[in-house]
Amino acid sequence: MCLTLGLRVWFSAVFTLLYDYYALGIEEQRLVTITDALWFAGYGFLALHLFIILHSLRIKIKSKIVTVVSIITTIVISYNVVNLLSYNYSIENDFIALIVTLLYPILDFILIIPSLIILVTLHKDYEHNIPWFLSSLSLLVNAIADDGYVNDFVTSNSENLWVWEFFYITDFIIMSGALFWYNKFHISNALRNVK
Amino acid sequence: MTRYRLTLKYFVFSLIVVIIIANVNVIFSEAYSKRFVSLWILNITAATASILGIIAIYR
Repeated sequence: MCLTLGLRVWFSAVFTLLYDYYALGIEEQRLVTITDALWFAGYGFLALHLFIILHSLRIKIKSKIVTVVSIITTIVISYNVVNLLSYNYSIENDFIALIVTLLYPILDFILIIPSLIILVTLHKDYEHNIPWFLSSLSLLVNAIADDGYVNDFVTSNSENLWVWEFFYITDFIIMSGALFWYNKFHISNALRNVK
Repeated sequence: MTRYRLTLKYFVFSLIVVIIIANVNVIFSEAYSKRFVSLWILNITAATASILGIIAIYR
């Protein structure tokens, strides 16, 4: 449920980008828009989805894995935040834009940690957990893309932005694969067993 | 189990092929239409994931 809601919200976000491009002729918004709000809402649902998976898998998660993943992610995200802060902002005009820009890597944090924990924990038994493995991989790819995109956007490297779109496209394809596998094998088998 | 593994192998292979096809479309599009192509592919893939999610809920 949370995964679907998150995907619906993110689909609405990318749809607003398409609408801006066609109807308003805007290549990329510099200001804070409804698209940002939709992305943030999606983060909430998808992070909740990852935490529910972590809880429902009933697997023993080693505290060593959690510690290592948390430390690595914190270093990478902190580096990114410091990088973004080192860029020149005029605080009076861009304060909200600055907050929104900083929120992206911070929110990526709540996607990267649980998805990495799931991937590391499930890597030996991935065959029985394909949808969860793929959905975590997909959200990890998305979080990496977000970090890169925001960095290039802030530093006005607009010619590089399309490179990060590969990651977003890959993210949605992997997620579609996860849901396809879930519909085809998990739900179908469950329905067959009920009958 | 062997059949399951074979299906999984084909599935992962198809996923990789779809990812390559989608991204190659963006790479080889003209510079002026790159944003246009990537936005369309992004919307199509997001819509697909979203629809599959809705199907999962209703089933």
